[in-house]
Amino acid sequence: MLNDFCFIRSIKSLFKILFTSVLIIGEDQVKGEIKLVIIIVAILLLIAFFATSGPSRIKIKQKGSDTMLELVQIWAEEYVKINDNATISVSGGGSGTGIAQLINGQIDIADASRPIKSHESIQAKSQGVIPVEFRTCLDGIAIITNKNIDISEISFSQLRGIYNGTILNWDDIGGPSLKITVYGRQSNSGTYVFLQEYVLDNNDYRTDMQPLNGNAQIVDAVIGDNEGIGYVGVSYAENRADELNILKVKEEDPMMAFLPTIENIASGDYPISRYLYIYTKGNPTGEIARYIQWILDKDGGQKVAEELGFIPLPQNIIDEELEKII
Amino acid sequence: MKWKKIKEHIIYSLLRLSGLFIVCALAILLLYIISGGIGKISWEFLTSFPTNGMMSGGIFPMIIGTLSLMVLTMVIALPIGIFSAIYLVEYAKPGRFTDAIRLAVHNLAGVPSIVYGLLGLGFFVVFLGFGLSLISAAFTLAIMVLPIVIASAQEALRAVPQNMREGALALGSTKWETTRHHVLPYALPGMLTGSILALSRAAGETAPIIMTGAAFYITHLSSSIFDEFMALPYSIYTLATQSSNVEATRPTVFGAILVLLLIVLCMNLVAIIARNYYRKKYRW
Amino acid sequence: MKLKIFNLPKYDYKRIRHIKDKTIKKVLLAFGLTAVVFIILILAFLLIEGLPFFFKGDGIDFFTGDIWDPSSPNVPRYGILPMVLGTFLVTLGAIAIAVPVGIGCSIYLAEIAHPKIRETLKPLIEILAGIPSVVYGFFALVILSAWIDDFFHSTTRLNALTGSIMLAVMMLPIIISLSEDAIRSVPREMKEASLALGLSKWDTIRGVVLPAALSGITAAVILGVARAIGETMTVLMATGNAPVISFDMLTSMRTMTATIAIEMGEVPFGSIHYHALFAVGIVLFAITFVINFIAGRVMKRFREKY
Repeated sequence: MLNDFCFIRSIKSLFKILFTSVLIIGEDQVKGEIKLVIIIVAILLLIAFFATSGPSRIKIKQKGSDTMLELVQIWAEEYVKINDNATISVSGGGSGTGIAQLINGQIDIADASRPIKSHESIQAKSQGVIPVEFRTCLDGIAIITNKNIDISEISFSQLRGIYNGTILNWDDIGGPSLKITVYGRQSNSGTYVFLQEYVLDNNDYRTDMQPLNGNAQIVDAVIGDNEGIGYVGVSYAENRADELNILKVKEEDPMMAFLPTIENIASGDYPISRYLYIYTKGNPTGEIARYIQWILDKDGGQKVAEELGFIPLPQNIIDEELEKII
Repeated sequence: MKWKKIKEHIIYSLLRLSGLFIVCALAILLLYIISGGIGKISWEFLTSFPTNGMMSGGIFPMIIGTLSLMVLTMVIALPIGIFSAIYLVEYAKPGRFTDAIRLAVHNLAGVPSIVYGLLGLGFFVVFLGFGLSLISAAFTLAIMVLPIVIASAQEALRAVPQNMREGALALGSTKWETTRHHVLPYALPGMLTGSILALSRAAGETAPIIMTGAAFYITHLSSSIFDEFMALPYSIYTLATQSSNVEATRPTVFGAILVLLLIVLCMNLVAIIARNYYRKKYRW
Repeated sequence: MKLKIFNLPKYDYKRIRHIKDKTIKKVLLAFGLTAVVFIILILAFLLIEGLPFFFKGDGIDFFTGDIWDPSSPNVPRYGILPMVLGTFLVTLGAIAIAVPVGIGCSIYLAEIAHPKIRETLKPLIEILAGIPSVVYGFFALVILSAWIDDFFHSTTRLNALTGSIMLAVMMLPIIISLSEDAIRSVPREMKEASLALGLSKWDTIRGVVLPAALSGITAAVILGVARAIGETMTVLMATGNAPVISFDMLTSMRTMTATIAIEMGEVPFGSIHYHALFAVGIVLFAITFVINFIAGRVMKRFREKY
C-alpha cells in the first residue's frame, strides 16, 4: 500500500513540474532554445519516471564479504543466465556488514569469510532471526611479503608476534634489518576476524597496522613497500605471484611448512584455510533455495569458484549442506 | 625606492602563481581522467551491463540509477525549496522567527554529508521502513540539496525589482496574485538555473547513498523506487577501493568517472551559461 | 497566457481571492518551516541514537581514551581522540595550503588580473567546485599518493599529507569566491583615496583593501574549514584510515567522518558500536555547527559595515 501511496505522490509531483514547465513555455519572454531544453528535460523526467514506478523486482539481496565479492557477483551473473526470473543484488562491505544486515532484516543472504560469532548469534535470536549457515567453498589465506624480504617460511607464533606488535623488526625472524610495515584489513572484514581468532589467539591487532579496504589493496601495498607484510585470500596472491614473496606457513616448529597451493589447502596441509560461508534467515525456501542449490552444484557455483581460484567442496560436504534446504 | 618596486614585482608574481596553481590543478585532474577514460567510452560501454566481475562490459545500470536518483531528488527538493524561498522573500516578516528559519537553512548547508547518511539510514530506511531503496536515498539527497535550491531561488526572487510588486498591488491584486503572476515568471528561470547546480551536487554525492540503498551489482535494472540501485559515484568508490582485480577493473572506473564528470560538468556549464544569459536579459 | 482556473460568478470572486490568499500564506509558512523541521530532525536523530552510548558505554573513555577498537574480542575501546586528532591535523594541513593560495588568488582576481583572465578563471573555479568528492578521492588514491611516495619515501603513501593536499584543492573554490566578493565590495572611494595620497597599488591592497575586507575573508576561510571538516569521501580514500595518535603528517590517520562511513554498515542496530558511531556524529555535528555559527556572525558583521 505504501507503494501505491508513493506512486500517487510521485505522479502529483511530476505533474507539478510539467505544469510549471508549461507555464514557462507559455511565457512570451522565454526564448526558443530554452523551450527546447525544457522539453528535453520533461522527456527525461518521463523516462526516469517509468523506469522507477514498477513493482519491486529484487527477489534476493546479498551482501557481505569483500573476499567473496567477485565470486558472488559472478555467481549472480551466471545464475541469472539460466534463470531469468531471479533478480539478485550484490554488495560488499565486509563479513561483519553482511551478518549485521541479515540480523537487521535488510538482506536475504549474508556472505561471510568467517563463521558467525557467538554474540552475533545471540543478537540474531533476540531479533527473531535464526541464521542458517552454508559452507560454499574453501579458501586459503596467503601470507605475503615484499620480494625484498628473503625469508621463505613463517610459523604461527612469529606471525602472531608480528601482528600483535611484539615483533617489530624483520631480523628478529631471520630477515634483513628493516622495520616491519604491517598491512591488514578493516574490522568489518571476515579475513581480519578469522586471522585474529585462528592465528592471533584473539590478541588485539597492533594499532599501527594499516587497515586497507580490500585484498587487492593489500597486494598493491606489499608490492610497493620494501618492508611490507600482509594477508590476503590465496587467489589474490596467485594473480601476482611473480611480484610477491608468498611464504610457506607452519603451525608450530617441528611441523613442516607448506605453500598455499590448491592441493595443500584441499588436503589440509596448509594450515591457514577456511570455509567461505553464506547465511540465510532460517532454512531457505523458494527462489533463495533454488539459488543456493545452484551455488552448491558441481557444475554451477562450484565450477565458478574453482575458476576464480577457490577450492570447491568435496561431494560429501555438499550433500550435508543440501540437507539444510527445505 | 627601487627595492620597493622589486618587492612589489615579486609579490605580484606570487599572486599570479596562485592563479596559475588553480589552472594547473584543474588541468592535471581533468587530463588524467580524460586520458584514462576516453578510450573506454563507446556506445556499447554506455548501454550495456557490467560483466565478468566488472572487468568488462559497460556502466548502463549505473547511469540509469544516477539519472533516476537525480530526477527523484529534484521532484522532492524543487517544490519544497521554491516555496520555502517564496515564503522567505515575499512573506516573512523580519524578526527572530525568520532569523531562526534562516539559521536553519544556513546550518542545513553545513552538515557533513556522512551525517545526512546517518539521517537517511536511521529515519528513512529504518524508522519509516522504506528500506534500502531509491526513495530513501532520494529523500536524503533532497534534504541535502535543499539549502542550495533555497539560496538560488531567493537570489532569483530578490532580483525582481520591487516596483513590479508594488505596481500589481496598487492595482488591486492580492499578495499571492502578485507573486504568482508578476514575480514568479521572471524569477522562475533563475530558480531553475540554481536547481541545476543542486542537481549536479546530488549526482556526485557518495556518502549519503552508501548507507541508504546503493548496491555494487544488480542483475537487472531496478524498476521500483523501493528497490536498491546502482549509481556512478558508488561504483567508482567501490571499484577503486575494494575491487578484487584493480588492474582489470581500472578501465571501467575511468570510464565511469569520465561519464560522471561529463554529466556534472555539463550541468554546471548549462547553469552558468543560463545564469549569465538571464542576468543580461533582465537588466532592470 | 492567462490561466483561469476558477470561473465563478462575480459577486463571489473577491471573497474567494481573499480566502485563497490567506490559505496560501499559511501553506507557504509551512513550507518555510521545512528547513527548520529537517535540521531539528537531524539533531533529534543524532541525539536519540547517540546519547544511549553514554549510558551503555564508557562516556569518559570516549572523550579521553586514545584507542578506537570497537571490534576487539577482548575489551572494545571507543576512544574518539585518534579521530579528532586525525580530523584536526588533516584540516590544519589543508588550511596551511589553501589559505595562502586562496587569498592570494582572490587578491589576484579582484585587483590585479586582466578582466579577460578573470572571466576565464572564474568559471574554471566554479568547475573545480562542482567536481564530485569521489573523483578527488580517486585522484588522491591513485596519482597524488604515488607522487608523495616518490617525493617523501614515506612508509605509507596514503597518509595525512595526501588527504591535506587534496582537501586544500577542494577548499580553494569556496575561499576564493567568497574572499573575492569581499575584496570587490570594498568601496572604490577608499582605494582611490589611498592611491591619491601616493601609496602604490600593493600598499593600497595591503594597508587599505585587505583590512577592510578582513571579516569577509575570515568568513570565507571559516566556511572553507567547515567544508574540510565535513568532507567524507576524499579523506576516506586518501588518508589511510589507521586510528592512531601521531603528529607525523606522513602517517596514516583516520578522521571522524571516515570512521562513520567505514563502520556504519557493519553494526547491528542497537549495539553499543552503533550508538558509538552516532555519538561520533553528534561530535561532528556540534563542531560544524559551531564553526558555521561563527562564520555566520562574522559575515553579518561584514555586511553591516558596508
